[in-house]
Amino acid sequence: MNVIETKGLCKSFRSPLKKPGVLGAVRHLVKPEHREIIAVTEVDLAIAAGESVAYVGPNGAGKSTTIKMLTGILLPTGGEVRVNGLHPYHQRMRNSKNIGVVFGQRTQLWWDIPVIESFTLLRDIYEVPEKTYAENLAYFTGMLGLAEFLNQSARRLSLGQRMRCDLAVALMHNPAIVFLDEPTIGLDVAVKERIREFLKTVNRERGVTIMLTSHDLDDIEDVCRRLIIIDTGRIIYDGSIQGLLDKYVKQRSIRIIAGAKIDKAQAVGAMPAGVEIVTASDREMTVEFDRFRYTAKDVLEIIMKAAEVVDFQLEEPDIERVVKNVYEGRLELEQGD
Amino acid sequence: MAVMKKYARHVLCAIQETTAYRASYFINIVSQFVSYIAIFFLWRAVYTGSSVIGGMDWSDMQGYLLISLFTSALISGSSEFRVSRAIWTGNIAVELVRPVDYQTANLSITVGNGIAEGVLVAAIGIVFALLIGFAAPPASPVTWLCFLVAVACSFITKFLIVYIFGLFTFWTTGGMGLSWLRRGLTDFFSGAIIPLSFFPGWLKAAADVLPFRGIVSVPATIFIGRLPSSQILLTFAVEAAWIAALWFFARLVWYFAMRKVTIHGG
Repeated sequence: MNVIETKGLCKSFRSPLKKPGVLGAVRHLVKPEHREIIAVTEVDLAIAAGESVAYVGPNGAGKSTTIKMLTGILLPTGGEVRVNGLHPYHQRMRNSKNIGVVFGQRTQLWWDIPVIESFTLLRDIYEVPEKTYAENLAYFTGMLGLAEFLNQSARRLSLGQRMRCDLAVALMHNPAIVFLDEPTIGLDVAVKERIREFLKTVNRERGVTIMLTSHDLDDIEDVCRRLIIIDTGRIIYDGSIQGLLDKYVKQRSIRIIAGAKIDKAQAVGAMPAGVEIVTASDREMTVEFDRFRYTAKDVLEIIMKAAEVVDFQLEEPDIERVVKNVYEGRLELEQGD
Repeated sequence: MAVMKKYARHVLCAIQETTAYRASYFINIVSQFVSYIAIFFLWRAVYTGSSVIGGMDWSDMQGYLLISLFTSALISGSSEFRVSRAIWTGNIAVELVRPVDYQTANLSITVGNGIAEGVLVAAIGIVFALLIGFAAPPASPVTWLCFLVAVACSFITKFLIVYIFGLFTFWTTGGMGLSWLRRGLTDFFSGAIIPLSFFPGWLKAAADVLPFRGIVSVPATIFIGRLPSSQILLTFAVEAAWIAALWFFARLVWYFAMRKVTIHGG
């Protein structure tokens, strides 16, 4: 069963069009002009219960806009959208009971009252039964290590502490889906890891569907099995992370350190088709090869004939490189499976 | 029942929040008194020349100013900018993903602030009354009851006006100008600075049909016994009608505002 479903989802905004300078500002005051900005266009999503999906794209690609449409904050300008079978905007109150939301840059906590009071407020807002609340509070407090600051006001918390509280808040009412918009932004490595571990656990143990946006590719690889890439409002990849690598990262590379001066001309001549020297200096060389045609052993043997290898380093295909290429427009993706 | 509980919890949290910082809690309230002390002396100077102005003697005026101060202080700065701040910071997004009615939640929070500040305002008001030698509180329990109803109406009316102006931030982005406009309108037409009975006929006629008079003029004139008892029920009926109208108007503004939502951040 799909818990999130959209068809041809679109959102455009009207944005003021101002000519530069004071004159432009005055002219805009008298006779405002606007232009349509398309934030999201023709987005089709089908996400099943229990999935963990990363929703990725460069800044301004339309990630947050999509999340805001799925959570009922924004009204789509076109297309269909269903979350748990409900229209998130028109049935906002009912939809909000089934979802949890974390915005990395905002908090659900009240600044000036103890965290635990905000929890109680949310318990009453979501009408969580006392027993469920007590169980969840104990579970989240243990997993996220909240005990030491539950009685402090949110204003006094560090960003990492606050974010852990916000995660607990988002899941306190046992939502079917949790949306996380850059949940690890600005956090240190230890807190990031803790949050990832937590997300994986609730996904696995409680079957909570996760949809997260992030610029941290470690978040994505660690937590999510499925990857959706959006760029300029359009989905350009939807499939597994491994699938993306298989399809678009054909190259692996080996970097070697040589014991004696490398004869570049000879080295270049020794490389068969599909193996290529990318950089080379006197004692160092990097070779890229088609990972579907050659094994690392094959390539290393070839290199050893041309140079006196004393050390080597193998670079694995990583998602970071692919995504970077996509962001920079150097890789044209087609819909995956 | 559960629905009541969620809004009651908003009230409780708001009380805690208002009293979280003792210093700002006191300063907030004391600051309201400072400007009233000036207004008080101004009126005393006016009354040195004549004993009755606009049908009110000096004792009436003292009572009027006390209630004006009390009702004005009930909804203070913290409520004034809550909505517009949520809009221009984009934090309203967080409120929209919860199963709460934004308008009712806001009223609940304002009630919480009002309770927390009202207690102190009333206490200081009584001290102030003793200091200036005001000695004419209403004698009849019926008048007190009517006064309490009028204060409740005052509170809800002012909340709705503040709230609606806050929602206008969806169109203007900045909340400052709107707030000044709102304050100007309410201070003037509610009779907070000059009692409505001092207004020229046409202006008083206008003020009488507007909702603002319920904020200060109605409770204050009931308190000093200057609102004829034959008019009290009609006045309450008009106030109730205004509250209903403003409540639904606020919903309408919200409906259109929500279609305008553009929260920055992609």
